[in-house]
Amino acid sequence: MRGPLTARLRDLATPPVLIAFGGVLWMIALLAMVLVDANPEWEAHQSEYRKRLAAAADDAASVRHAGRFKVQVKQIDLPALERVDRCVSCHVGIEDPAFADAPQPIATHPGDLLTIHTPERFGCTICHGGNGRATSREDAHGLPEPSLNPMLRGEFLQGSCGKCHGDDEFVAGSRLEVGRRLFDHYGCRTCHRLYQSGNTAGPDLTKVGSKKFDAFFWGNDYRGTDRSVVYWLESHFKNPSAFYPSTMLNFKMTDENARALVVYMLSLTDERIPDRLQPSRGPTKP
Amino acid sequence: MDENRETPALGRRALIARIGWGAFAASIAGSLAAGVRYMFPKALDEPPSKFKAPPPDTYGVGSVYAVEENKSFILRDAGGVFAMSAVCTHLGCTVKHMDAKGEFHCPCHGSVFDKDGTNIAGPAPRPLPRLDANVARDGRLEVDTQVEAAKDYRVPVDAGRG
Amino acid sequence: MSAHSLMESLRCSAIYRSIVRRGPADNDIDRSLAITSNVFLHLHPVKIRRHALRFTYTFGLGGITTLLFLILCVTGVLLMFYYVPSPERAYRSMQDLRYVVPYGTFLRNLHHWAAHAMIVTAALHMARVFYTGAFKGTRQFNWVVGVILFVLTLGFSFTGYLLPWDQLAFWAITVGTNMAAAVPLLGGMIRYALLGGNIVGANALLRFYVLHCAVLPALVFVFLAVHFWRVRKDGGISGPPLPAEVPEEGPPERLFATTPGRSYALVALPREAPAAVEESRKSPEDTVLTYPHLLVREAAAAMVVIGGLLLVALFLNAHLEEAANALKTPDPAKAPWYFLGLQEVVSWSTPFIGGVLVPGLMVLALLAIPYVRPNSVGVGVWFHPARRRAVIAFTIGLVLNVLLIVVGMFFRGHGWSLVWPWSN
Ligand code: HEM
Ligand code: FES
Repeated sequence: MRGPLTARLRDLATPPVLIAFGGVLWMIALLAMVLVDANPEWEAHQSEYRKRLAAAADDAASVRHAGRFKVQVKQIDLPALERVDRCVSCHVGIEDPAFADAPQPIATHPGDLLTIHTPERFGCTICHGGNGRATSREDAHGLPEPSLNPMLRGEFLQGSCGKCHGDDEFVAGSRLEVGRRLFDHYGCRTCHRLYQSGNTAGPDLTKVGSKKFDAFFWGNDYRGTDRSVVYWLESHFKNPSAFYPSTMLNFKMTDENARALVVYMLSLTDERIPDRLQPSRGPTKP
Repeated sequence: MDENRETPALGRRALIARIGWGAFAASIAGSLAAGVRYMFPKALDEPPSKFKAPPPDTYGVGSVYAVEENKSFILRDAGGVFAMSAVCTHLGCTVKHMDAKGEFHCPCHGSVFDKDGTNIAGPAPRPLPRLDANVARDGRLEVDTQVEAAKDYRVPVDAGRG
Repeated sequence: MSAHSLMESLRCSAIYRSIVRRGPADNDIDRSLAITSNVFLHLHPVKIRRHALRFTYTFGLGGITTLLFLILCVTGVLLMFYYVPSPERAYRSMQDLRYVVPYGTFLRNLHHWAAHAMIVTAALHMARVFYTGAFKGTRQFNWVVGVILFVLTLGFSFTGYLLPWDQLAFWAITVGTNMAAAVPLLGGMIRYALLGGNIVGANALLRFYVLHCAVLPALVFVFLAVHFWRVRKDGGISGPPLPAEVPEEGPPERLFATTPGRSYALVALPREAPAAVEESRKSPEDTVLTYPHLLVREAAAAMVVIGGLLLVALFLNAHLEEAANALKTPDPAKAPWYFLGLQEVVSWSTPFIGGVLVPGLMVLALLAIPYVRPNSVGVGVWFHPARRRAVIAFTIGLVLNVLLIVVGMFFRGHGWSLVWPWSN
């Protein structure tokens, strides 16, 4: 049984050799640990940001500004929302108008939404979703999908507006507003409950926007790779029996309408927003 | 333990023993160092040292604007706007602004600071430090409570860059 | 070498001599003193039977389990610096460890994998003790202490499982504590006492935390002390009976008390032994000095285990699922892996059978093992033919347990239905 190789190995496995072997493994592991910790993803982005700041500095104030920039974990502490958003560790430029043309992740936040929804009061995840405490792209964005905390993307982002803003505040013609009207138009309450009204033939939709992908029934035959909530909802609206035989009526919705309805569904969450951040409380203090 | 097997050169054994001990010592030392580093997280659930306040031109001359969460005051005088720490230089209590006198009083051991933060009575050894303040790119005042500014540092009120 | 002479002068210094009260270990007396004059090392006897050194006898399993326990203590204390046992903050501490505490991920992984490994090595250690008949004779009670240690080890894992406060933790503990609730009459009370209420909530988290970080460590330390003490009192670890007669040069020198059940009397230290005779003295016990023979082997095993564990911790991240949500049960909701065998039984029978009767009988059977045939036949021999039936019975139990765990881990899918591991 024992070939020459195993015999040689046996001879080699003396206590001193094993001690040296274990010790070297220990050192390698320590070294790897230190290296991994010393090279976080955000560091590269912040260095790039700092480089651009320095390059663009043209007067004393901006030179000072660039000089003071420290590469470190950046975060927005949001005790009122019981969260900490570290998105700004990579997205360092969101509040700096000079970075409008910079590449992601250091680009300026588009539009003027940040002037009303100041990041230090609202943070990022309340609108964008994702995992605010994470400091790696994958974890923060909830990748790979399907994941428990996916970010809302593109047109679906509007779903978040409905977490705070009441129906009467929805911008006319926005997907969210269209979705809400479609909800009445199709008569969804005939079967579903929403808040205090509606029926119980279908599931209650009051918190449907908080459900994770694994809370939806994907049927036994679905083999696709997209298992996101958004995909499930949209497929389901276009064909209620997309995944399993459903008793829901098929409204033959257009893509457009189905997506608007998805956006509205996403706004129906059980997230608790403290009163003082609610828009109905009048103008926000600076 | 096998005496009849050819013993390897003593040099090799000694070398292995040395590698073993060396690696062991280095690993222990490295692990202890890592343990110390572990005690210093890269971020805390504490209010950040930097905070933003309304743009400089929103403060009336002579006004004292208290930012309680950040233990600071923002003051405006003829020369401009500046931020001042509200942390007593004696032992760290938070000073109160006495509107009537324009002074700052510390409730703990009775230190008194005048309207510029100079210590004028009590045990406080130094004036209240002036804090680094700048107009951020969005036009608001950005104050860093961890960075002390020069004694006469002020942000000129027309310096906003929009 | 200058380094060498530096070491030499260090050794001669008054400070060094005040700490290490022996000369360089180049003779048996100093080698003995190396053990007896050191509070930690004197857990060991000065001399042990040569047989005890054989790796294939113990596989070092008891020692490795002890090492893992110590690693868990160290990493656990470090984790306590950041962990807050409240539903609001527990999960956040886990996230902070992962994202902003230097080496936090690594440390958590270490604790996680060492914990799993400890259950495995403790179980293997138990199997080795069983298969070598090491629970017989004077060692009966130490087997019982061992069973208690094993149950405490499971308790450690069970209580630790809840602490991250993620979905996996929350529902595993919900399932686990409901199994405890199936105890007749007292079940509800046990569950209530364990959870500090009726639901897995803030009180349960606090209780599990205190059990995990204070009560269980104290208990394990106490029982470990008894365990080791008994190993010493039973004459070191077991081995095959000593040869009845000693051949060659007339009556052997009796250096040590041979009465089984006694540790070697210290008075029997070879007082005027010539220098550098180390291990050469023939005695009926065929002993060797603990220092260096056992110690280097222990050091070797320790270093390999530590090195291996660190590598695992580097590459495999401990789970962290979504934060606990009392309103949504993940599908499937599985107990921690070492309880999956029981969950499997529960899924075919009743919580009482799977959650109480089977585990209860299992522990009772384990406790009874040394008292079934109180003889000392075949001690110290792996799978001794005299214990053939016992060996077969134990093996069946072991294999069954492993099989059920494997089924629970890999063959149970949505709604606890049987699935192939690759179909998901
Ligand atoms: C926390 C878990 C445990 C630890 C840390 C531990 C530690 C040890 C150590 C260091 C030894 C010395 C011999 C060796 O390394 O094999 C030993 C021996 C022994 N252990 Fe354990 N043990 C544990 C659990 C158990 C369990 C579960 C059993 C059986 C139910 C057990 C029964 C025994 C017995 C009977 C001996 C004496 C063996 C002999 O003399 O050959 N121990 N234990
Ligand atoms: S702390 Fe303010 S006077 Fe002592």
